[in-house]
Amino acid sequence: MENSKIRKINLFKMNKKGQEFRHFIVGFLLAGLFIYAMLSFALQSQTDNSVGNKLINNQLINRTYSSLGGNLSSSETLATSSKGTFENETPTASFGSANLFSIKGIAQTIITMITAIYNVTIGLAADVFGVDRVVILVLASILIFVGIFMIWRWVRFAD
Amino acid sequence: MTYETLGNRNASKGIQEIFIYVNDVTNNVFTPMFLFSFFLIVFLGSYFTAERVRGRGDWFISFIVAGYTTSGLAIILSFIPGLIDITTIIVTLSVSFIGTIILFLTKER
Repeated sequence: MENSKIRKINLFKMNKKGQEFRHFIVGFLLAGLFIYAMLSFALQSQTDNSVGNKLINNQLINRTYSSLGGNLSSSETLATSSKGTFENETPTASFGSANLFSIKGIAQTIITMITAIYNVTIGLAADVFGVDRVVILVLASILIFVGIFMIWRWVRFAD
Repeated sequence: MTYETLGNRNASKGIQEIFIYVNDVTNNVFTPMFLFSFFLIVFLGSYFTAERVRGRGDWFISFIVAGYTTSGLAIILSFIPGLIDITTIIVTLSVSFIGTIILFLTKER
């Protein structure tokens, strides 16, 4: 009884302090970059050692590599356009704070980036292990909901 | 069913010829099993070493470390023609990718 009470308190504390939105975005982008680096290493080392049956010839790897590269490259363009939107907006005065509606668009862009990276990386694992598409879609929907709630918290509490 | 003997292979070319021979006569089961054994050894070894040295092990970190080392080994083995098929390499890479996502999205680590 006592232990379960302590556990509940710890979980509450973990949620309170835990994964804020900033950590979530940076974590996802870095994970995408790291996965891209691993794939690049595998493909480049095979090319350097003149391997006959290369990984890049596999349709699944080729698709994942190009999609992931495209998503990561477009993240810079999306971030720059979000910066432009943010800079061009004039804050409207509110009671005790200032409203900036461009945050909503920026948040939508971030969610799109995260979902794209998730689809590419987990999609590969799902195809390889034969996981049903429904499972992946359910996980993706959970990720999107988590993202929405994090954005709401981010906009509401600036956390 | 008769198996091909090692005498038909040129083992003087190197030890990789013996591995390729074993993989061929086991219908490409040898290399995945070898990699799986390697994964388990690194996974359990790193967990229990951390537990002994620090007093506390971390299953996720051990899983991630084992995934990376197994992927590295699979990529190196792919330099030897006929030893490993592409599906096996993709499986090891997928395990690493799952580990990477866990690593970057859990704050405690």
